[in-house]
Amino acid sequence: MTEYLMGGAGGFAMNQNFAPQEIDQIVRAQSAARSIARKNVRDQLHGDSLHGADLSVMEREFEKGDLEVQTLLRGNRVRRFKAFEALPVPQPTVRLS
Amino acid sequence: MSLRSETPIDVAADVRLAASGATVASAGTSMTSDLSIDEEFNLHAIGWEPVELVSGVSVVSIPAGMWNWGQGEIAGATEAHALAFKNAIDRIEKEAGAAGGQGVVGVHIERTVHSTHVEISLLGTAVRPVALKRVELNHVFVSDLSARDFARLMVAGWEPLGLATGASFVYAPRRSVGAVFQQQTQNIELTNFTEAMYSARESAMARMQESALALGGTGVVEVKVVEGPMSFATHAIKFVSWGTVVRLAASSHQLVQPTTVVSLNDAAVAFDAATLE
Repeated sequence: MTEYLMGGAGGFAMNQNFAPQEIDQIVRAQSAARSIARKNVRDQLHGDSLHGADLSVMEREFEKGDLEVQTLLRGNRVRRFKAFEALPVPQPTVRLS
Repeated sequence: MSLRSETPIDVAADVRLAASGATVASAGTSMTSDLSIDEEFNLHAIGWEPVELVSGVSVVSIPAGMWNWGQGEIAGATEAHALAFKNAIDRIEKEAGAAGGQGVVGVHIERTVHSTHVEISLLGTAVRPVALKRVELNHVFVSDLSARDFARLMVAGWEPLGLATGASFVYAPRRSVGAVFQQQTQNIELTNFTEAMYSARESAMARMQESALALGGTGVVEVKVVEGPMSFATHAIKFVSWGTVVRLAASSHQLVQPTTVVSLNDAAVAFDAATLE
């Protein structure tokens, strides 16, 4: 997470590569944090649905180079108890204001 | 009704599985979505349903020394931005397909450009036709249209095909010392910035159009644009644009007459109610 690490392909080594490269470690951490948050929520749902979900991601470097990704997923757990009638197809509107 | 998980959470195993790129768990019968209730019902009105909250992330490094002196386009930054967008879109498509979705709507795009790297994060809700038997993985679309706009689009006979993006980072060369002294008492256009902005815009918009054509689209809607200098590189101009690629799926456009709405929620009070008799 340091500037040096995030620079990835930078540096002045003989085998330096000036092409942009994906930083795999961070991508894996970010993806895993989101995946686990969703999995934990699903485990609590037991067949119900989560509506209006909000996913917030925070990251911090707690030691030089060590990145911590925190993901918080929250929403409303809802259960369908009867068949519903879908709303009419939404119509385009022109607002006069 | 217990909200606690009945199965212990094995975080280490989940991390390994998630890091391998595989889906952590099948969606089962539970559905997660960041759509509002209205939006879900709008989807049902056109025969679609939400399936799962999906995301795609990419972080790409920008080679060192890119933001210093130079002329023309900053190729390393432009390529890094394009690669990050492409990878993030690929990942969210893959997640949506694995969850049984035929597309993703309402995609929130978070993009950050640092001096050393570009971060792109996409988050949206995978959706599918209610009667869908099998997902066509080659045709999973990603769209930043809201579910409501997606429903309107489909009703009008159009379909979304994916996200088109274009970006360009261009140097705004510094003026010579002589020019700075000569112009310091004049109100004069800084043509280096103007030209850099035009150059970045032309390149970014052309790239967005190219990516739209590559998806087989005939247009891009809901285009968003971000432009200007960056805090860490005041002599570089960025121009980034993205939008949803669409094409006419029906034999002809279905005319949907717009409804006129007069809002009664005007915040400005035109008269004082206490003065009324």
